[in-house]
Amino acid sequence: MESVKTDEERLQMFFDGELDPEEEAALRRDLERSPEKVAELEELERLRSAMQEGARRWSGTLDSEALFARIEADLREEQELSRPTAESFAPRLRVFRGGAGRRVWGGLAAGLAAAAAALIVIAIWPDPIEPAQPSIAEVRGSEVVEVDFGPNTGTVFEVEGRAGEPVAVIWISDEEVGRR
Amino acid sequence: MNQPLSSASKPPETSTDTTVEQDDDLVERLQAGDTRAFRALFDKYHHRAFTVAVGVLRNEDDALDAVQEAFVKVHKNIHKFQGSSSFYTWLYRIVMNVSIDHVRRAKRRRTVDFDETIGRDSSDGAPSIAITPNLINADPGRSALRRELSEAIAVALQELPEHHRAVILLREVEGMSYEEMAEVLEVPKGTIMSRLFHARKKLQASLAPYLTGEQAEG
Repeated sequence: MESVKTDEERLQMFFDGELDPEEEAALRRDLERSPEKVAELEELERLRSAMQEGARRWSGTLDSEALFARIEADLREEQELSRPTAESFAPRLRVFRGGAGRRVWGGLAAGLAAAAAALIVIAIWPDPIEPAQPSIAEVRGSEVVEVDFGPNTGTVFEVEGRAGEPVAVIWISDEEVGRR
Repeated sequence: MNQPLSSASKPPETSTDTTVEQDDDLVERLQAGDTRAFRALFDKYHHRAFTVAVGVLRNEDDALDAVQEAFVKVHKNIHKFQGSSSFYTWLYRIVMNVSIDHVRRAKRRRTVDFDETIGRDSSDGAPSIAITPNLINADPGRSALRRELSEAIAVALQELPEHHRAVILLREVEGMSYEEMAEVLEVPKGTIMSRLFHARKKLQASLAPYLTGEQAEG
């Protein structure tokens, strides 16, 4: 014999259209003899109507265009954030050969001011060993192809010259990123 | 015989085959970068998503935030949507998760008693009082009575735990099947049935003055 709760659950499933056809037919027959169950179904139906009526009221004030505009603004903002910014622009000195990429901060600046024009230094090396940046590991030759450190204007770098001598490079302007 | 001898009062239809096909097409277009498809999906579902969010959150501003957040997530993650479920249930899962997160965050930071504002109409600021028995069966054209009913439902919903609130809204307002609800809320179908059963019992108790059928029948 089914418990009262199970019976109620079956009634709920019937009300929600979740019983299989056989069970539904059996319950229909049962309902003919059970005014209590019919009353229970009617109450469920009134609850549903009340919920739907309430939902119509509380959703009636929505400004769809304003909401979509907010979503678009959010998406634009996210796109902006995903773009590289000046702050996220990491200084890169694309020079090869061991030690060639070391950055020397300060010190040499005054004495080597004359070298300021040498924003791009090219030094040919016959047999590069290790790249300073993994991303350019495959480049052959010891060529300084680009000194690119954006907002770090004024930073002094040391690279190796043609004969292996240290050469300082002072970055003057971001606009003259070297491509030679 | 004027009796609900079947699953009579059908809630709104949800995912028909045609709807699913249309959604699949829109999703495919959105995945290919067609922003008009995003707008079309928004137009199709935002109102219903908002209705459910208001039902869970009981606050229109919070519901707007939740729907906004949900659609932004849809846009960002549409490439991950594989179509193993319908777009409709996927969207509602996001809306529900976002809404329930809002509820939990609000609970953590709550410093005022929101109960004092629940059930109060913003137009006149009057609290919900003088509940009329059998209101649903009274003259349906009387907007003041309807407002009272709406407020009483708001109070009753507020008293439910959020997982009960979610299931009753998805069923009665959105008309989802048990299967769909299980998908949206990511719980077994049996859990859905149990939650729905208890949610209804609690609502019936809270709204008893409105739901009693004796006078309506008499």
